[in-house]
Amino acid sequence: MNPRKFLGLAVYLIAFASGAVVMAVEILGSRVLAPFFGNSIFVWGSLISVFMLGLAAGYYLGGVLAERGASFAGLALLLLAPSLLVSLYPFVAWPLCDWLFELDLGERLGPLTASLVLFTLPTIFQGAISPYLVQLMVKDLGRVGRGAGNLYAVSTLGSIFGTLGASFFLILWLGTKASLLLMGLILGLLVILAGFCHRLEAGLGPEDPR
Amino acid sequence: MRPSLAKARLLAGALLALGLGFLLDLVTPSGGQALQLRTIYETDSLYHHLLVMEDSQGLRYLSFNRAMGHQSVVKPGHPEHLTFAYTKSGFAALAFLDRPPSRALFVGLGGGSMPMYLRLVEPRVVIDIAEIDPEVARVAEQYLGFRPDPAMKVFTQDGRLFLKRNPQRYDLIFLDAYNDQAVPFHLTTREFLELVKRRLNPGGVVASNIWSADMNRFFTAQIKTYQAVFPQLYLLRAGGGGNYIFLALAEPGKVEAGAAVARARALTKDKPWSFDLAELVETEYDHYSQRQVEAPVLSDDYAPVNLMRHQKDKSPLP
Repeated sequence: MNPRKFLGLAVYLIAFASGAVVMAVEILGSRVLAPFFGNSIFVWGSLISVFMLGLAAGYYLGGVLAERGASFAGLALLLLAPSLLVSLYPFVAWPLCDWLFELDLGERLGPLTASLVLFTLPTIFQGAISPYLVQLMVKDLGRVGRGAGNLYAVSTLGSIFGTLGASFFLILWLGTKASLLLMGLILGLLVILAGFCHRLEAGLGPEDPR
Repeated sequence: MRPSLAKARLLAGALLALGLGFLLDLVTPSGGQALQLRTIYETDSLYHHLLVMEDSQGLRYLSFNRAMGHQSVVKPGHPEHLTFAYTKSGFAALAFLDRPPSRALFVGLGGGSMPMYLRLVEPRVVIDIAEIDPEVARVAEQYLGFRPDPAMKVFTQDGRLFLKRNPQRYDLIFLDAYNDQAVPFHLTTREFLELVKRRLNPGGVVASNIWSADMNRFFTAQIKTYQAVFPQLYLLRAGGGGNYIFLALAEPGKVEAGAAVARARALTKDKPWSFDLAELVETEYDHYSQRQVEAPVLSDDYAPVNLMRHQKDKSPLP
């Protein structure tokens, strides 16, 4: 395969997979919170709004980062953080929820605080990936709208896949903790893919002027 | 008549019929003949689309949405009237308790028929009710004849959170927060049942209403999970129908059928029971502690309850 074509495909794959992981973690998050905060409408409201908050902050910060130039090495680092954080969930999320439960913050503030503490940080990193990928892929300024549109579409398709995959299958096949570990692992594989792309691109030399 | 007008009339008639169809739900009660139900109240709550319907005999039906079966059927002002077989079988719990109950908890209020009945037959028992949906409590009071009193209070809280927050212990804990379409997974797990067990007084009994029209993996997994937590388990197939009552005790031992029947006879004597509890216990008693079932124990980590409900269990119930 043409190396440039491979890099383009890798960018789409990363967009798809990280889109899937965000939503899978959100679905799995509801299973983490339920024993401590129930699965009321307040829990779902908290969870969804916190993911939106994380993504919004991530889009902004990712844009700021991208402005200073994007590289596959930078992308690998951006993916490494949520990979580690998500892998930690099986070990820290339950004790943390238990501790927050003891604080008895109320039926709204309880799940909102837990969602904020648990899910904001990794979601910021995952949100940051989107504008960063746009910067990485779209070299031709005239085609930036088209490129961004493609990436959003692919990443959102990934989110559908992640939502259905987690709620229809993973909860049955693996349970919550193992599914979260799997999400961390998937992000870890994306780190390796981004690292590989970095080396591949370095070997290519400067792009031909079009 | 011009054809277009005829068409318009036909359409209007069809629309009217459609509208009436929405107003009048047709149900078939266990007897057979279809019964016409009139919707008398309808509201959206945080969790459900609540519907109160009434039939020509004055029975009122509570539903959580149009597609589901009825949550509760009551005759307002007549707490002695229990319609569903499972509500009767649930009271078998009293026959497994070695004393009159002094404190009982209901997780899930529904139309309030069970707490009202318990209040009727055991006037001195203190009753706590954990109901997550404030609208259910309001509707039960306003339309279904539910009458809380100073010793029968509704706490608007998720059942698990209520138990976790309150160290209060009970002689009887009724779990009825499941319906035929949705099961809150966090009320099915080993961790939840261990919490329930900690909230039982010595000798106390848990009665859980588990729907299983057909054997599915959730049902067998629930048996397995109860067996993992409670040394004693009895299953009562309510009225031979699709509901099972799980009765569980925290202490080792066994309540023999004869003892439970005798106990039922003694505790219902001279009290306003509207059905023969002793006969019910005699018919439905089934000891389950030692039965081998092939299923996973449900845990907070692994409890795909709604998915398991759609998996048929191939092995027949022992």
